[in-house]
Order: sequence, then structure tokens, then C-alpha cells
Amino acid sequence: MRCFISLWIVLAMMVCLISTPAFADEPQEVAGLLKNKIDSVLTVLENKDMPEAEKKKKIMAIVNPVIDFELMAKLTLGKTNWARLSQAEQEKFIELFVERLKASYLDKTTLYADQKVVYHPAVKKGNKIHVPVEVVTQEETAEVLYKFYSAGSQWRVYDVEINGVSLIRSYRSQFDEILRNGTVADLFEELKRAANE
Amino acid sequence: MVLLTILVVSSAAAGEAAGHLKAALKAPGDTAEPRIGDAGETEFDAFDEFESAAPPEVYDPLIGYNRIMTRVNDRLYFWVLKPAAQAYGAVLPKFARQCISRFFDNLGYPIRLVNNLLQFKIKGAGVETLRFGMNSTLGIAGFMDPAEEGFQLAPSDEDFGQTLGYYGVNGGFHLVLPVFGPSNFRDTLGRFPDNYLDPLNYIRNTYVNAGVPVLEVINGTSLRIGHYESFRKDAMDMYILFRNGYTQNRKKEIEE
Repeated sequence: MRCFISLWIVLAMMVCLISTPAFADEPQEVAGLLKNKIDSVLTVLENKDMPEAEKKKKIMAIVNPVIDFELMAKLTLGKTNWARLSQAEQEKFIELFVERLKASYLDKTTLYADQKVVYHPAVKKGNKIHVPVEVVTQEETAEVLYKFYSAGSQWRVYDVEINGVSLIRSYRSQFDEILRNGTVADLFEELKRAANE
Repeated sequence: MVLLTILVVSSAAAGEAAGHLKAALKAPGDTAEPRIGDAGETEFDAFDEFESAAPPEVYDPLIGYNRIMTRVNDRLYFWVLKPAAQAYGAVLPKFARQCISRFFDNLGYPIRLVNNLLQFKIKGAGVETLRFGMNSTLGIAGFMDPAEEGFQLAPSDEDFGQTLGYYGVNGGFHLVLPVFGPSNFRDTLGRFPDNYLDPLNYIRNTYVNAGVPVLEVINGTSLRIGHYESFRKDAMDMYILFRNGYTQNRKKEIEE
């Protein structure tokens, strides 16, 4: 019996020893993933010969697997408002918003062509991982925070903060306002209108 | 060992019982086929950081005025500021404008120093002092920034609004200022002591006194054309986006 217990203890310790370093490496692994993606995007941006439309296509192909646009759409609406939508409306919302978000992302990315990115150590926040970076352009430095969550086997971005302004929160405040005074139809109207402007 | 086993088994049994009880308590209507929303709700719980943003996130009794002033500022940008900055930018090369921008930044040293000290940010105050000393001399009266480029000394920007925030004063009501844009009661008050510390306000010549801030604004705008447009383009409700963005940004600045 005693032998059995000590075997257990040894086993448990081994499990701890094996799993701890892997656990501690998670933030580094995520930071590496992000750096890899940003480097690829910058390479595309620096290519002077590539037409704008092709650049955007290339960039989207790079970032699409690591940014969870659909989850972001849900989070911007929030629990209460999400439940107000029928299933068909939810699907429509995701479709409209994801399109909009992608367009906005590409717009911002291509605006700052001469950027340099400085990486800071990634931090574990509960079961999420935050990677702070500084995007340095000639005029100013923006503090950008990429927030990752574990989506099964891989880590994906669910929010981005720029100088403390969370993308999810800033859309959320607008959706709240629109839905406080209007209907779901009004929301869709706004989503389409602004995207076409 | 045995005791442990019993504990594990009994807790599992208790969990199972609770599960049955839950199922029994469910109304018949609840067993309808699951909607996306049902799966989504667990997802929302995993990201509850966003749920904490209760709807009336900003106290905004002046919303009517604020919305109007946001429109006014927006027109002002497109009709006056942007054309002026573009004309100015066409005359002066970018490098010169960057120098002017750094010159004005350098003069803001007293504001940053005092507010760093008021918040006991000794390192920030030291860095600012080093920066001012280096940039005013080596950097030719602040036109260049050798402190950051050569010594990685980044500015530690603090203002009196942030100092008040540091001492627990909250923003009060949201207020959109003409020309300057989004602010709140606290940060608007904070502009007054900061003005006292601004060397530009000690120029005795009235024309120069009026002209210098205009130059500063136009110069700054000429270096950032496209930024406002790009931010605004994302808006579905421009005023709400700016108000929320300002509030989030100030919260971060104060926490730092």
C-alpha cells in the first residue's frame, strides 16, 4: 500500500514536471504565432509591385485562420442583444458584421505602410493570453494589445485593443445605442449603410 | 486511500443527482431544439469581460449638445482644418513639419514633469527631464528627438486630468469641446492648470499668442491626414464611437 502511494506521488510529480514548462511556454508560443503572422503581413505590405486588391487578398489569407471574426461578431452584440435575434437574424448579423470588420481591418493595416512592430512579453490572463505590441510609425506610437483565447487545438484572436480602446467594446457601445432606440431591422440598415459609405 | 475513494465516488454521485434534479426541474418547453443562442450563451460567459460594460457606461446629460458639437467639429475638420493642413503640407516638406511637431512636444515638458511628480512617477519625471535636457541641446531646441532615437527614452505623457484620475476623481459628465473634441468635466477642468504650465501662454505678443496654437494644430493635422477619416469610417454612430473611444483611452492612460 505504502509503495502504491509513493508510486502515485512520483507519478504526480512527474506529470507536474512535464506539464509545467509546457504550460509556462504557452504565452511565448502565442507570441511566436502572432509575430509570425505580423511578419508575413508586413512582407506583403512592403511589396511595392503588388496591386492593392491582391495585397488585401493575401493579407486576409494570412490572418483569417488566427482571427475569430465570427466570435467577435457575437461578442460585439453581447449576450442580451444576441438572444433578441432569431436564428436567421443571428446568421445575417454575423455575415454583415464579419464583412465589415474584415474591410475595416484591411483598411487600417494598409494605411500604415511604414510601420515597425516592437514586441513585449505575452501575459496569461486567466485562460486567455494577451500579447502587447507597439506599432511605431514616423508620427506616433500605438500600443496594440492582441487578445487570444484557446479554440481547441489553436489560439485565436477575439479582441484587439488600440491605445486602450477595445474593438469589441467600441462596436458594442454603438450596437447598444442603436438597439436601445431602434429595432433589429434598424441595426441591419446601419450595418449596410455604413459599410457602403 | 479508502477514504479518498469514497470521497470521489460520493461527490460524483452527488453531481449526478444534481444533474437529475436539474433535468427534472426543467419545464417541458425548455427541451426544444437548441438555437445558436444557446451555444452562444456559454461562449458569452467565457468572455464576460465585455459583459461588465453596463449600458449607461458614460454619464451624458448633455448628449443633445454633445451630438451637435460632434457634427460641428466634423464639418470643421473637413471644411477648414483639413484643407488648411493640406495647403500647409504642400508648402512645407514633411521633415520640417515633423521637426516643428517635436519642437512643440518638447515645450510641453513642464506640464509632463509636474503631472508625473504629482502622481509620484519619479521615473517618468526623470525620463522627461533627461529628454528635455538632451533634446533642447543635442536636439537643437527640440527640433530633433535624439533622446528617443539614440537612447530609447520614450516620453511619459501625463496631464492634469490624468493626475485627478490618479487621485480617484472620476470623469463626471461627458463634454465635447469645440475644436478639441471629446472630453469630460474632469479633463476639461484639467486643461486650466496645464495651461499655466504651458510656456506658449507666456508669450507677450497678442498676435503671436493667438497664432502659435493655430500653427500647432495645423502642423499636427498635416502629419495625421487620413487617421481621422479612417477612424470615422468605422462608425455606425459617430458620436457614440468617439465618446466610447475617449472614455476607454483615458481609462487606460490613468491606469498606467
